[in-house]
Amino acid sequence: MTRWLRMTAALLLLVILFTACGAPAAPATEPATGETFTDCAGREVSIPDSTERIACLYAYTGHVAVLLGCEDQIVAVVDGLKRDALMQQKIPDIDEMPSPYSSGAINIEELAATAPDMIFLRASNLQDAGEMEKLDGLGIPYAVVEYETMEDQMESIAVMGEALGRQEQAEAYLQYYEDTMDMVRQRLEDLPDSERKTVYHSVNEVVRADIPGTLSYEVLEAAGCRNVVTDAAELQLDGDKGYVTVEQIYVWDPDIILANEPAAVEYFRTDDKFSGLRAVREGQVLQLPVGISRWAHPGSLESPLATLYLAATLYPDRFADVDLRAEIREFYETFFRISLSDSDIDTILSGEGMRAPREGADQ
Amino acid sequence: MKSRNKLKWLAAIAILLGAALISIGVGRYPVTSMEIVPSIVQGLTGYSMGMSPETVAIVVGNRLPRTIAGILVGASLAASGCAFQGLFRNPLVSQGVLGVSSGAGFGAALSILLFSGTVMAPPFAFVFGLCAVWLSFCVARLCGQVTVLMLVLGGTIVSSIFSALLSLLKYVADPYNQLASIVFWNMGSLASVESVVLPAAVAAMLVGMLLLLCSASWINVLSMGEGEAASLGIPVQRARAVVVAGATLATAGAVSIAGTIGWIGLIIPHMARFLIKSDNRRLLPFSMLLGASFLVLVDTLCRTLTGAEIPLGIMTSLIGGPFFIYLLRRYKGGGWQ
Repeated sequence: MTRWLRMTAALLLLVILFTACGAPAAPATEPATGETFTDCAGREVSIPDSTERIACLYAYTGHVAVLLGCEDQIVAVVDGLKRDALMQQKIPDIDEMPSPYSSGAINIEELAATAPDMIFLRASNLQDAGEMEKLDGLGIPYAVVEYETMEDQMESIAVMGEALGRQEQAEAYLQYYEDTMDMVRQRLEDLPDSERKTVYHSVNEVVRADIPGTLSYEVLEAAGCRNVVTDAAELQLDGDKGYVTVEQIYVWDPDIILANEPAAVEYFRTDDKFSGLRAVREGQVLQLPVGISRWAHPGSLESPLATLYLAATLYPDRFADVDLRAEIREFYETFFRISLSDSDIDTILSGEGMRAPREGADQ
Repeated sequence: MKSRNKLKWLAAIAILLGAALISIGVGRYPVTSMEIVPSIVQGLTGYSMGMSPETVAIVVGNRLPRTIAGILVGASLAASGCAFQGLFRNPLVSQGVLGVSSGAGFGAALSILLFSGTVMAPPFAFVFGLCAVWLSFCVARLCGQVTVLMLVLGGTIVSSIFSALLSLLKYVADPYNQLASIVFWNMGSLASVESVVLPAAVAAMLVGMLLLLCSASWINVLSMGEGEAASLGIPVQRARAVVVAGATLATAGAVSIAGTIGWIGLIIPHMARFLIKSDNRRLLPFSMLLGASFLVLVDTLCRTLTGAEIPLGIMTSLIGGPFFIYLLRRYKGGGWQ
């Protein structure tokens, strides 16, 4: 009996100890300025006094933060960001930065330890109510920043500009965005359907295709491509990814195959599986450039530049006056404050080496 | 009686040939049955038979290798399952139940991580497959006599440990280059057989199956029990080692190119036993024929049912699960000898 008593007492003690430790300290609410903004999920988020420390739990938000000139404010990232060569250049200590989100769950303690003033993430970071409660308990304002279409993407950049008090920088990029899209649209307006190339876009993986209604689909469309995928029902959807079979690519018989992953390009060009494809036989498997992100990827910030590049590459006679290398140089100089050497531009165009392997790059 | 048996063999061979033809003839890209042979000739010899390059690439570059891989993997898994059932004198074991599949799957995934490629997958799959079956056996022996129940239990434990380790590997894998290939070990697929791994994997499967075929009469004796086998002058330890090695080798080869595919090693030998009784000298090759046909047909379903690939493991479990229930019911009375 005494043993039972003792055990119960010990248990009680343990419970008390744990609740004492686990009880959230009074939420460290920032003295809000009273100002708010609306995030991409339509939530009202109050702007903290200072945004000196920001956590980017969705790779894209890290790219936008750099675009807005806030690279020095980033204190937490996701693993994917650490592997972008240009991000490593902008944020030299990115490798040592904590990455509190991986595989569907936020490590809330690691996130809290970085003491961010503001957290940026996408809705899928918050898989369930439990994840959301964890974050709410922290008392740090967080904004959902995400998009599906091109229009949404522009909106998302404006949202982050507002959150970080960098409206001007956001505005400048959006102006360039609109101007570039207008320019490409005007030059391709009278391009007859019969001259528009049919394109299969391999997104990271050989059999992952564009999904209609997403940014990458719109980029290709704006660049004068006829995407071989015409309906999402043709794809096997797995989350935000759409898959096809090798044989389906044969059925589509595209004029051009675009791929952003050098290994995929190599696979298309050399494997027997694809040797019968007309695009492969005619040497029309093209590597998409990779800069801050993979161009024309659904998660890519460089969509306007990618659109211009693609249009000018596929229909060179309509863009004879456009010097792509100069455009690229100016783009990264203006918006990311990176001066590229000629060999840097070659690297971007080759798509190789911009996303470092896991071990980390030399840059 | 003799002629009836002959008929069964002929039927099994005919089914395999039919399955292979269906597999080569069916898919998203239209290929007529008249185009199959000319395409193969044109693709393999380079002599033009008037086939379009698309058709040749579909038939010779895509479907033929896949069909051959399906035949080998199906036959290996069935042979290996058949041997384990004989060896452990138990109708409810297989490489899946004994943990060999998940051990081999983990080994293959580990090799991807260590060598950033599938080159070393077959030897790793083999070593970890052996580890798994040995561990299962050890767990079963903890309680003295190795009983059927303890063996299944041991296998379940070992199997789930290796599955957990495999899931753990996913966290440290490079999401772009390694993750996709690791995830695929879980479900099994013939969609992306890599040519670098092919020679070693095919060799492992062929050698494994050959070992099993050669030791079929040993399995017969071993399945009567250790005492019986020793009294018949069989080197029990060595015979058992050869059979375990052969069965694990065959499974490791199959896992290296197709990932872990459940159920085939369990249900196919049963079907075969139902049809031609349990003499392993006949049972093994017959199981191989059935296993090959089954996997080729299931794989054809997997790649034609929807716009993308369905993992093989899903289909074999869907078919295998209910069949296993049927078996449990049927053998409740101990009908297996």
